[in-house]
Amino acid sequence: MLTNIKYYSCPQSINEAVRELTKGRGRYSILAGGTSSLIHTHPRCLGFVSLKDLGLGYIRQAKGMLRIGAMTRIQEILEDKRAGRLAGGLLYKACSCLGSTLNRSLITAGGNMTQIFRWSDFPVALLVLDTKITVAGPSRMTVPLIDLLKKHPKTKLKYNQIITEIGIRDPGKGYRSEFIKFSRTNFDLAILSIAVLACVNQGRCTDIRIAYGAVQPLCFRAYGLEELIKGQRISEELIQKAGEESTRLISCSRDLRVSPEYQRSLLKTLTLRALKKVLLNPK
Amino acid sequence: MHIHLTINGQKKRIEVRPGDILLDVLRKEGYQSIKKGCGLGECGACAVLLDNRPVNSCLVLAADADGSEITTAEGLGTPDKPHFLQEAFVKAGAVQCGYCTPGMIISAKALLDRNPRPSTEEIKKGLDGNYCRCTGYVKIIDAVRQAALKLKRS
Ligand SMILES: Cc1cc2nc3c(=O)[nH]c(=O)nc-3n(C[C@H](O)[C@H](O)[C@H](O)COP(=O)(O)OP(=O)(O)OC[C@H]3O[C@@H](n4cnc5c(N)ncnc54)[C@H](O)[C@@H]3O)c2cc1C
Ligand code: FES
Ligand code: FES
Repeated sequence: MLTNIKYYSCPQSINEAVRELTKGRGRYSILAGGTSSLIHTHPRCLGFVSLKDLGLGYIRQAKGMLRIGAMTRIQEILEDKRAGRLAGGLLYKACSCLGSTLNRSLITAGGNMTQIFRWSDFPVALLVLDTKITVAGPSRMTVPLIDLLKKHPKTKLKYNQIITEIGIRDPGKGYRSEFIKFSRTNFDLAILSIAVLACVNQGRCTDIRIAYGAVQPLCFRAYGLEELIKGQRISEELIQKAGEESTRLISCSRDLRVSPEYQRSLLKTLTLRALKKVLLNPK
Repeated sequence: MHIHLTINGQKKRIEVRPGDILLDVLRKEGYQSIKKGCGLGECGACAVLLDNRPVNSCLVLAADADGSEITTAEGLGTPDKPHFLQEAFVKAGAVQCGYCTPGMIISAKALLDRNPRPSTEEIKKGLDGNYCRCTGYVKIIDAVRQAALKLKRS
């Protein structure tokens, strides 16, 4: 039993949920999948406002966008054919190695996006896609994910703001992708993860996006590395150079689980592996 | 506060506190097949089907489960009339201390409901959230394979 928790409410509309959270003045926490909020309950948290009845569990496709409701479970994304096809299966790959089957039936897209840990998987894949986040609160807004992740979303969002939707633009044909999570077992937390999305046209890389997870406290895009490859003719040498440069351009922050040397070597190995897969293997 | 649950087909009205965890509530209600291992979503000993989804009941707030249907290992079969998965676990010798078994069977049931003919890899993936600390996994995977065969034959 969570002894601090004295209040629970299950609002039936987004406006009501915002009102409940406002009433709590930061002492009520949003309850989504519960996989983090029930384990790491903040000592100041006195109650939960559940999002389960807000109708936010959906996956829709419209006008070249895949719209994922914030309460959609990771397992549901994994089982959805449209999400599976997006960007050469990038979301599928990221979701399939996220926690265990039992966890994935609980963890929500919105929760994984907000309560970001160093090793979180889903936001790494979203970072290389054109992703927009819809936030409800006293006012509504839609922000690019890249802006939301300038700071940790938990500090960026106010206590009465709720992520309602994740909108992903389909990059279209011609894009290839790779997601690699390196961990001791599939179910274990990432020691390092990388997502790459690229378009190659007539032997030249016309677009590339690279994101890393577990290298720093928050996942990020590697713009410097992308610039090195974008517009270039694809060759083994280019990829080798990018692998070498990854350790120079990207600073790794200390991680208790790995030594800095191991981390750097892993960074290079996974960068090479992902780039080879995406740039050298057309099919 | 009160919640309404349908547990193994039986409707129940249960008094809970806002901070109660589903795992504790279900055990208190007598569903002792559900075990508390880690309480952190890692071991799978507390697995139940919540509206047909396999979940860690240690990570579900009881109040949030209001209105749900829950299946526990007790709801699958009885000692006199075991479920074919329970039978397969016994036949394959997939049970030693038995602490992990109800959770394993719940995950296996969820897997076979979705995919009646799983490959070995799919069985491993379906059971990836369940730890066994004494039997090892070979016989458990065998048991699920045998249960799938039985399902196919019937
Ligand atoms: C055993 C285990 C293994 C795991 N392994 C992995 C892994 O390998 N990779 C990985 O990426 N994740 C993993 N996770 C999941 C991760 O650690 C978080 O628990 C999860 O992402 C939280 O999502 P949730 O839906 O359960 O949110 P909750 O726990 O319900 O909420 C977490 C926080 O986010 C806020 N929040 C939730 N939804 C919203 C919203 N829509 N708008 C605004 N704020 C919101 C809440 O206020 C709360 O503070 C694992 C979890 C467990 C228990
Ligand atoms: S007790 Fe729930 S997963 Fe271990
Ligand atoms: S049989 Fe003892 S833990 Fe699995």
